[in-house]
Amino acid sequence: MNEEPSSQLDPFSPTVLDETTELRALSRALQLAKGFKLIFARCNQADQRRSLIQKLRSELPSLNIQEIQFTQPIAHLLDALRGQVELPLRDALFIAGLEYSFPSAAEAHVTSVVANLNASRNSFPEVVGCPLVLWVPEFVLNAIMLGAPDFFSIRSGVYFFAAAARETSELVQNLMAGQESSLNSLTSEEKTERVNAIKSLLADYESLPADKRDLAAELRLRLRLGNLYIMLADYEAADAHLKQALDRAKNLNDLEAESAVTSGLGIMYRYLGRWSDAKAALERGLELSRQLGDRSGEAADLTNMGNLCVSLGEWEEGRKHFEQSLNIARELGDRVQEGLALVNFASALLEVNEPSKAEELLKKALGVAKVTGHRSIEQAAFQTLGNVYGDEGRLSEAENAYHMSWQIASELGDPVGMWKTLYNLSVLRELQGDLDGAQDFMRRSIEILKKIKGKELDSVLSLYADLERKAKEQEEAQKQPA
Amino acid sequence: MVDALREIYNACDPYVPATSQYYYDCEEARGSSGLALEFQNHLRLAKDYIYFLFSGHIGCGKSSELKHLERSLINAPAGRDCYFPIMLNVSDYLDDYDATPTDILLAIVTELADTLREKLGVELKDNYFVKRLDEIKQFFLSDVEINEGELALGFAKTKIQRLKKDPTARQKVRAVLEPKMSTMLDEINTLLDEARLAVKKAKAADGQRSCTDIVLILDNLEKIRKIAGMEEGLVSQRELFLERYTQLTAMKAHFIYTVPLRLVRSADGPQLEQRYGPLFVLPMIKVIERGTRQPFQSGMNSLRALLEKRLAGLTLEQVFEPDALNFLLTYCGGHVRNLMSFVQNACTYVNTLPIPLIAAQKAIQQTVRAYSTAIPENHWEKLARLDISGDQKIPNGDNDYLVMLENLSVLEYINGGGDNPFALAEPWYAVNPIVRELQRFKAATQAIKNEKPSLDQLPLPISAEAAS
Repeated sequence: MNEEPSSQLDPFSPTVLDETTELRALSRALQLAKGFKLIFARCNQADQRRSLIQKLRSELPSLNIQEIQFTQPIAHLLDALRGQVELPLRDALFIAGLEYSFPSAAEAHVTSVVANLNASRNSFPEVVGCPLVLWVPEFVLNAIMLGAPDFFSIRSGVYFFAAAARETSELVQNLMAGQESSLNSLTSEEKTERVNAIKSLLADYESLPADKRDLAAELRLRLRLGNLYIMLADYEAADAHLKQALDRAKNLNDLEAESAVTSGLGIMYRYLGRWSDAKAALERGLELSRQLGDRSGEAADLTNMGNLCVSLGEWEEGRKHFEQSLNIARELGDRVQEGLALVNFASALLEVNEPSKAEELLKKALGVAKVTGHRSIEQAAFQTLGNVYGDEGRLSEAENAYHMSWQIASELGDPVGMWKTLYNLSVLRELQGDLDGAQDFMRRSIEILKKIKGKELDSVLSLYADLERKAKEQEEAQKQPA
Repeated sequence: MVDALREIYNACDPYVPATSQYYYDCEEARGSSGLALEFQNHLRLAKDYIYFLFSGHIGCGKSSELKHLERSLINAPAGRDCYFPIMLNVSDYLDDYDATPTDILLAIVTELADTLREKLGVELKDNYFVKRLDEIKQFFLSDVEINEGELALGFAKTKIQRLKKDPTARQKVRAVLEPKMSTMLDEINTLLDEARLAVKKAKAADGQRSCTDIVLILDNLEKIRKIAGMEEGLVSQRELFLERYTQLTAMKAHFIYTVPLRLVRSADGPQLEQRYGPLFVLPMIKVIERGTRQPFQSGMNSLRALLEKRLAGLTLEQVFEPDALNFLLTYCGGHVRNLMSFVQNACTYVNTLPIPLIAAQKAIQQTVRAYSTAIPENHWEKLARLDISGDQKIPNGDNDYLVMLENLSVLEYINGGGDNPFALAEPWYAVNPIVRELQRFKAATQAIKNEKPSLDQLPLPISAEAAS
């Protein structure tokens, strides 16, 4: 008898079947197939893959399987298999580890390994005379489908496995570990890696049948993704994920999550110069933090509100927010929050021309950064300190501070920190009378701004035009005979 | 029962073109005559050699049609001329991602000599090409092989094919041959004359008649993605088929070249026909009517007949429950390789026959999942626009649509075979029926329907008469 004769299925939902059904189908395919057949098994988690293969082996003890696991990038699968395929031929060949050959998800379909799959598809039977099962994560499968359509079209099946919620809870913990603000201390590569890992995990979660889905976990993952995208300055992606997270939080009536998502949106809107959206979001975030009694959250929201007030020129309002934020952080003994409040407060002070007070706060912030190992606080503190020194005409001290700032920002892959530091260095060069150097730094700053579509681009471009004009005038003046 | 399942699973291998045992002529259901008939008609009327272009979707049955043509050419019915086919699978010789016209020329010479020796026992002895082989053999033969003496044309096939996997040797061979390209093109015509003479002398398949001429068929030529020194994709395809068409049309013999559908449907498509000769695009087997989306019975019947040939001697009713079969046929969109793949998948979700609807659904769901994550973000709206457009045409030269043709999210059909014999057999396009069912697609369609009417759809104000 066929199993589940009466069960209902929506064939057009991308929901993944339960593992047992899918594994049984794959096992049947292996029993039915004679000679070369191309089979995909889509599985995002290495642990799950290992356990599935183990189950297959025990279910089909007579099936003689050769497993090849790549741990290095390869350019050509078929060539890599020549010489590795054992003779006499086994009943099936399993390949894993192809993801090492795909540097990033975005360009995966144009990598040489994909091109070579397409080109060599006719030669596979010469080398692999038995069913070939490629165990691949989703982004590799997509890359093959788009980049090697001929190869993909000869498939005899694509079996999908998604990790069940309970099996991945540990993984979620791991991905979610640490305060949100500590994310900023990851290098850009690490951030991108996290983005990919969270995306694939999220895809797994979402492909589970409705009754097995864990909506709260999906929400947390999406919030984390949104925050990472803000840090990578990809605001479009951040906006999309945060809005989905917000809807979900409201549906689930999860105030804590709503508060976190709203604050994230508020920060992003301020970066984008959407002041009224920013204000509405931050006020809502603050309201929720207070309602929940989340004092750390309240301190963070107050700092963010302070920054917004400064952007809007409401300085006195801003000072109050910063002071409140600092008080709460100190009360709680939350050093990271204290550091963040200090740096933000200091840069506001500098704007209202109180450099010595700003310097004092920044030195405290550097102390906090050292204790907590929080590198993005350290970067911001050096950057602002550079501005303080510049203001006071202490140019070589300013230069040193900017260099520290640049070093940390580029290590962290923080594009905002990077363009701002370069911009500041340009201003410093101009003060030093080196217009060529000033132009050079400004150009590099503009390159980054363009990439992240920063709202400051237009004003920086016009400053650059000024610089060019000044340089030309200076040149003309030098040509004039004395 | 397991034996029947096993036989069906392996008979429906999407990887292998239909043999004569499995071939079924879907002429009417495709809405056009079959390749064999079309080509033979051209052949009969042609006053000169023809360079016939053949195209179609990945997996729509091109290789099966070519194999069928090969059989038909040599076994022409009484009263018709027989032709001697030389079937060259370009993928046996060339690296799809690094090819040049000289590589193709060398493959043609080698395959021609090999086929004549294998099939007719005739050895082509052409001094010019033997000399060229002598110049290049050091690059791909071992020392032992070199010492064996002259490399005969008719025995060079497996050795020349080594070049496919040896980029260094390939470079060296090209360095020697490329400067001689135009002479080689002249000389190959002498070789073709020699071959022609040989097939006229030999007896055709029935042992009675002899062949009138040779026909060279280059299958998988459309798979070439990159010409050495050129950018991959459409640029390379243009270079090979358009910029260098004089090389492909300089050889004096009947040729069939397979060309990429993407190039045919690009803005440069019309030039192809001007430069070569007839172009024949193998459409999907029509399973729905254009516009109304009503089932096209003749197409469904063809697919049934085609499938029944692969069912281990069982009937369709024994293998599928009726709704399961209907489901598979509808959602394959008339794409034969998809259908084969679906049947294979369905076999793995059952223990016994007949296959029920739920197994057919699970089979299709594999492709649902693949499409739902792999379709690029910017394609959804375009897919939706095509679907709701009245004319079901794709905008000329829109590269995104060309990519969709390639990944089969859009399928091409031909509108012949209907009631109106005067209707033009023109191509039209439909969104893959599986993609049509996806949530993302439905959302995109809805979004377009919700758009506000644009200005030109509003009644225009009537302007006042100019006062005199």
